[in-house]
Amino acid sequence: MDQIPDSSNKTIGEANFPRPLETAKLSAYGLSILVVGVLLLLPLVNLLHPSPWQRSLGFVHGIVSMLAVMLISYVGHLAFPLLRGVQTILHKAQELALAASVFAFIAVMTGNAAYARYRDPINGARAFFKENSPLVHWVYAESHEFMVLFTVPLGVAVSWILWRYEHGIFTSENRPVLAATSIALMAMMLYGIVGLVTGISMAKIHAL
Amino acid sequence: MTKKASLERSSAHSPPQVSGPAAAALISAVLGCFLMMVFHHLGDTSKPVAEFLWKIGSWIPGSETVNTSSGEIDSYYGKETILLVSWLVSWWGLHQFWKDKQIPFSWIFWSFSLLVAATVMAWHPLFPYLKIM
Repeated sequence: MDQIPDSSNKTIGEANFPRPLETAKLSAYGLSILVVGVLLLLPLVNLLHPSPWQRSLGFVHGIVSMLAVMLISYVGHLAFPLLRGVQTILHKAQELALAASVFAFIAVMTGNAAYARYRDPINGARAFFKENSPLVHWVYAESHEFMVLFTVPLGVAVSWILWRYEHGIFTSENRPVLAATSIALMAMMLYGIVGLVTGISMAKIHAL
Repeated sequence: MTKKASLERSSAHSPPQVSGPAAAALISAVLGCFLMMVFHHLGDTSKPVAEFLWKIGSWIPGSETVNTSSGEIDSYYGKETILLVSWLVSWWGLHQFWKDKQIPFSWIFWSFSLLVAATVMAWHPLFPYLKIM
């Protein structure tokens, strides 16, 4: 290694090499983006499925649901700083709550579209579950069908409250409103994630 | 714009100082979810209720199908309709009553117990009258 002493006693190699903190930050950000990106590609697997309904209805519902749950999780995590009174995140929470509600609604609509195929009495997924794995139908499917619907009214209510109350939600008089809104946001996140997990579990056992 | 209209407009856009509007929004959402689950179980145990649900859900596209490669949605759309109607109607009604009132936090808190009840009602093993094959 070239040794040209300078005032900091570093070699040229050491002087040009990034600092550990910069390397760590770049690695963390890069890896996170890659991992999230790969995870988001999961619904694309539906395009390789032999069933034409899974390639169409399953793919669309999968993509929209994944996006909806991402938004719901993001805004759900904002419930914690909101509850602590961090005012700087209010606008982000307003926009994300609205976007999450819209995507949750679209996910429900696409799920409705897939539901008819799911209920095909001859070779639909529901008939397969009832015959071969009844618990999947009676527990996973039943809870999935209804718990995902809870996200829409909760999301709309939270969005409306955040937009209507604005920074007034942080006053001492409205502290109970802030608490209740944060709890509703957390509940929306719970139902969204449970909905995604139950839906993917069902698709894992039998597709459309 | 007159001074009165301007004042009314500014007060309409200033944040509420009471919890009534927020309570109406949250409690109506919870009520809608709870009523939907009640009708879900009523529909599963009573044929007339199931037919009623199917009828009120027929406005949603796909409620009835002649496509031989898919099944009937049955009463599910009716349950979604119950959620939508009960949620929006109760929101409108509660908002009219509570828009200028301070609603105790305990009302909102205990209304979440309806949400817990709705969640429990979505889990089959707690309701043995539904048959497991």
